[in-house]
Amino acid sequence: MRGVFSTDVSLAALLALITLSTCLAGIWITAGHYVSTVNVAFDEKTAIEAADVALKKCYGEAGGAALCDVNTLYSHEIDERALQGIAQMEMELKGRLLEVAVSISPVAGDGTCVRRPAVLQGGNRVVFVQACVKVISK
Amino acid sequence: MRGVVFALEAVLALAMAASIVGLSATQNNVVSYAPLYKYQLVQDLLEVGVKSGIYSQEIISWETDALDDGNALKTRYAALLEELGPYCLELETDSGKKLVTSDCSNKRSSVSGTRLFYAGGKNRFFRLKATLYFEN
Repeated sequence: MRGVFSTDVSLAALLALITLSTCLAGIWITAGHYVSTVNVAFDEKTAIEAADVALKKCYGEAGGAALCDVNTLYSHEIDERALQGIAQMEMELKGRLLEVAVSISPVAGDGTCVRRPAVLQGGNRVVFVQACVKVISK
Repeated sequence: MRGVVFALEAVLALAMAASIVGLSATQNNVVSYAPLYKYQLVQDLLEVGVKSGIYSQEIISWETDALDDGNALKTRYAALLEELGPYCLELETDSGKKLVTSDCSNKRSSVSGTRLFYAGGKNRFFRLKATLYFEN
């Protein structure tokens, strides 16, 4: 009888151990999944913000100052000068180094990209502002 | 008997833990800013309609001219959407005129926005509603 009891207790202990490991693995997997989705969301948010900044005329000339102008916010018209090249910058966000590239280009970019239509200032030409965010290091 | 109860409790605890972990794994709680982007897109498409002379002209002509079936406007917006992704756009005016760039029936989600346009020839304002349809 004692033998049966000790076998049952051992079995219970083993099952409890498996339960504990299952819980820990679950927490580990869920936390990992959460961190990765949050990181993807941050990249996405950064790309959305970068494209928005470009559309609000804060798009810097190559190596020059930004062209922010509060009077033209939400105008969705792009300055002709913005057509020149790609504005590429690095930024640190939540301990991760990101490369943000903003361009008016139909070429597919690296990383998380968003593309928004805009009108060239004073003209009828519709262009696409593209902002891509790529993780350089974590 | 006590041992059997212990084992039974342990089995129940294991089943419970496994189901909780399994349930949390199946839950797709993806954090995403995609809805914000879709909303920005529909606003951009309307803004292009307001700011671009060609788009604006075609929108006004489609609304005010009974002979204009909106095909030119439809083609123009369809070309725009081609660069943006698998979207479908529906345009609707106050008077009930409606056009879609492609078949929207297979798209489940949508965001909408409106803009006022001024039809100079008719001396009146009209509202244009744009609805962007997309897959989740």
